[in-house]
Amino acid sequence: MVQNYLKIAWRNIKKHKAFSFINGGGLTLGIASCLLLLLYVSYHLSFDHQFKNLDNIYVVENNQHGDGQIYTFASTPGVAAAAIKAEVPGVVQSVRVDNYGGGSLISYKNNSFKKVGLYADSAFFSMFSYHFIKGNPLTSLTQPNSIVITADFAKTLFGDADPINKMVTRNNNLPMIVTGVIDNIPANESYQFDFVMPYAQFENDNVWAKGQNWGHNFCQTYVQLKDVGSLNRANSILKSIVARHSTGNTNQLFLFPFSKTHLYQKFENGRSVGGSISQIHLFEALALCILLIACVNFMNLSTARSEERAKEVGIRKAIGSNRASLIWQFITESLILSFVSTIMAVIILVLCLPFFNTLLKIKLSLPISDWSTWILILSIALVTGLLSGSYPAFYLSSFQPIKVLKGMFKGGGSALPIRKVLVVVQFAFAVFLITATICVYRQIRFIQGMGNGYDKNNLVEIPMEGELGKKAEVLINELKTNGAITNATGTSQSITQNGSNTWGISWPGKDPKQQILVDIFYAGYDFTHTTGVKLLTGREFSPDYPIDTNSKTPTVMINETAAKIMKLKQPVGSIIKYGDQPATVVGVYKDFVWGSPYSKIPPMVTFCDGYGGSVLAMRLNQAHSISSNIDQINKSLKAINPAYPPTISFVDSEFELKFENEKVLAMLANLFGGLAIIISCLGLFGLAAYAAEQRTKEIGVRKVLGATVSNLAGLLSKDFLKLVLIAIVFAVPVSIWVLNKWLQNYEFRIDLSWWIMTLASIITIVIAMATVSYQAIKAALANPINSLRSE
Amino acid sequence: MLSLQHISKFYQVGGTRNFVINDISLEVEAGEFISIMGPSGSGKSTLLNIIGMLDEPSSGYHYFAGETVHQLKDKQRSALYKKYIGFVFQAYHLIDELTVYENIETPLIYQDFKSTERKAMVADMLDRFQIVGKKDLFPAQLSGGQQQLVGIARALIAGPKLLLADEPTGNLNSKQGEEIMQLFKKLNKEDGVTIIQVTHSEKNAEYGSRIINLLDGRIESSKQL
Repeated sequence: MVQNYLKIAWRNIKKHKAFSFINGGGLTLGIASCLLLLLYVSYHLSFDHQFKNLDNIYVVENNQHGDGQIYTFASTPGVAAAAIKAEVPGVVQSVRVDNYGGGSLISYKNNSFKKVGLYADSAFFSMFSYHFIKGNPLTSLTQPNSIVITADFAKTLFGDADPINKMVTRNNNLPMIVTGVIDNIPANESYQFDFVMPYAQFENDNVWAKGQNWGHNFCQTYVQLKDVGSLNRANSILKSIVARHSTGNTNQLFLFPFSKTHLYQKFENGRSVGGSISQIHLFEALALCILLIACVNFMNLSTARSEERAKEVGIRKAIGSNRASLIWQFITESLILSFVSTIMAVIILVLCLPFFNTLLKIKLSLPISDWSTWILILSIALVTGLLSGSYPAFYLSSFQPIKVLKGMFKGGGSALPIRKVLVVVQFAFAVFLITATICVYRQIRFIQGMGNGYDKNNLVEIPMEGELGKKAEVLINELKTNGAITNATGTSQSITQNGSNTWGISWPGKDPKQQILVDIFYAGYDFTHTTGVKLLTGREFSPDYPIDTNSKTPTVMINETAAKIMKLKQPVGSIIKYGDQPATVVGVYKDFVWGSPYSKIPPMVTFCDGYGGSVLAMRLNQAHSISSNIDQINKSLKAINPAYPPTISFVDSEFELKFENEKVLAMLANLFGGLAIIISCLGLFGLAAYAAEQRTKEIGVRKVLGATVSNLAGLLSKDFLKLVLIAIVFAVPVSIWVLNKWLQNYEFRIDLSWWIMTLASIITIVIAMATVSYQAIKAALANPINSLRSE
Repeated sequence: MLSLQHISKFYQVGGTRNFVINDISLEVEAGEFISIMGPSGSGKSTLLNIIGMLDEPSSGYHYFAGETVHQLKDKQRSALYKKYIGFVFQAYHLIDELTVYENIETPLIYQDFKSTERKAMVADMLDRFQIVGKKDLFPAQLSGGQQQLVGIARALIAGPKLLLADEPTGNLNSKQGEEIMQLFKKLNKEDGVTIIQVTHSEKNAEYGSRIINLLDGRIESSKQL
């Protein structure tokens, strides 16, 4: 019997090629989109999930009270790890990890590579079960000069030779011995590194980190508990651990599951309030919706074709089929189509993945070796087939044979309202997605258009490493002389990356109870000229003023916000304090975006670091081409700092990275919105064809009576236009609600103006009408003689 | 074999009942060959469909092969129908997507015959109707007469006791029609199949053993030949 079903199903598919193409194509697109989204979702859900002890690993979070709020961050004092291990029962081990300054130059023989590194306590590899290809995880970090590298880095350094016990040099002076090789780090992990060094190296590199200072938060601490039961006890001890060790310090530590750090990264008032997980849920919903749209399409098109199939149903019933076997027949048919579509979808998915990956800058791959993938794909095919086939199956099988065979059957009458509802749902969804796309793009454009406070074009940054730390002035002068750059300044951090702030700034007239977080940024001479930050009053740092670098009372510049908050009558010349250290304000500059472009710019104080700093920002000379400037810089860098390969980053592209998340959102909304619309239109196209066919006689009669082509096309389009309009009525309030909620996340945001809705509606109407009118015009142009003769 | 007593079929139109079949009683013995005649709209096809259980009467009693049909549930009726009745249509009603062979085979599938049995039965039927050479063709590739042969073969494949034919020759030319009627006669005589046919043609009606004339939903006359 099944064989018979399969046969007739296949012949039906072949016989109605266009129909099958539309129907199967829509389903293929739907399943492919759904799979792609699920892949994206699972990529994020499985972030940091490769470790065996995952359920018992926690990151120590730090709640800091100030300014009437609680700030939560995962940075702890260096002494916390040992104290937690000693004082909290149920802690199996605790590990400090830091990546500050971990990026190093690693050399072997004559080859040097700038790579990303981590500092970690020796228990790191017993807590995080990275797979060791060579070496022992338990002992690999016990010696202070040991280094564990990834497989790729091992290959880069040593080729095929055994890396164990090979000696490499770090930052051109420190010999280190390779004690282990681990698998490459998967893309969906928080820590991305090429090598790991013992934590002792961190204390060597940063002398200030040594000692028992509970007031200084600078490293991540991870804790492995015996079991979940120990958690509450541990948290109650951690709450007061800082205060016990450092009187007056109100910081409170608590444990947060490591597995959640990627998606639940947002804290408010010291508690986790979600994070990108809501975006992930959004994509899950989107995946489901697109699949549903595709299924709805399938139902719509199948039932629309009921008249053709009605005769077959009648005959089958008349020669002894019961309803159940008919239902199974139609279900089988839709299962075949859904399985074929799934296979096509998987092929499309595999072909599109590289493109999608470059678009979103992530690394998705179909885990073909994982049986659960195939089970998921199979179940999607099965569920889709059953879901989309069940309605047509029950509907078609309900036909009364005698009515059908006698031609008394009026197809679609009863099914039409449902079909209309389905079309409305589809287009409501399309309107919503178009609105969302426009809204997200507008929001990004709005933020980008707000300006960043400096001129990011023709501005480059290089790390001050190796010899360059001492010879920055030489490099600057040389490049200025040969015309590659016009200005340069050393900064404590990239101008695109905030990092350091403090409660410790005070000024005359400050309420001592008031706590205000102030950004601390070091800049060298020529700061405003180099970056294009606008100087409002006073002066900037300059070699002409020796006071800038060698005074007991250092000079500072402050930003406009700081000047406003401090309410200084005459900012220039005022004395403010950083802790107990007084400093003279010499200049006020206009605010610039250092951290997130989406939030208010905090007050900032800038100290002078002369020719020092860790990043050198340079303004390229626009008289020459960018490439010749870069060539010059590379040449000079190689001469001055030969040990390090030059790494030049462009500030404009670094700045763009701040919009990455929103861009991904916009891109996904755009892509999947587009797909949803295409799928909906495929359905509409089929339905319009059906409607035109059903009304062939009416059209013929009207034409004979003198209706014009446009009359008739309008007549046919009108019904669908009505449905789309109803869809818009439903979609607009939902869109306003959802998007307003989304916009609440941003301090600076656009208003949802009416024209966004209008535009989205018009786009939807135009697309829908273009789809329908093809069929309508085709029907209207047909010769009435033919249509009337068929009666 | 079957008995209809006071069978009526009507449609409610506004306040009045529109009778298609009006109080018909009819006894059919096994082995009969009945031709039902009458003008358009006299209720011939409806009567045939009621006999064939494709349509339900509005009132009356219906007995078939010892069962009280009017009291049976859908499923039982369908089982009864599958077991005893074969249907031939004026418009052949073959399934376009299936070949001749598969069309004939389909009823057997619904009656859960095994694949080997089906093969033998269909082969036998193809042979008997001399259409072996056409078994892989689709209905659209056959002439009307050939299609009707396939339709009859399909109706007979499961060995029904009662063959119902609704104007089986209506779409055929006279030569083809005659062949079909010869076939019916042979089936009736040699195989003992009870046949009830609806026809417009006097000539074809005379192949039967009894002619029933309908008018406005009633039996106007019944004539034993």
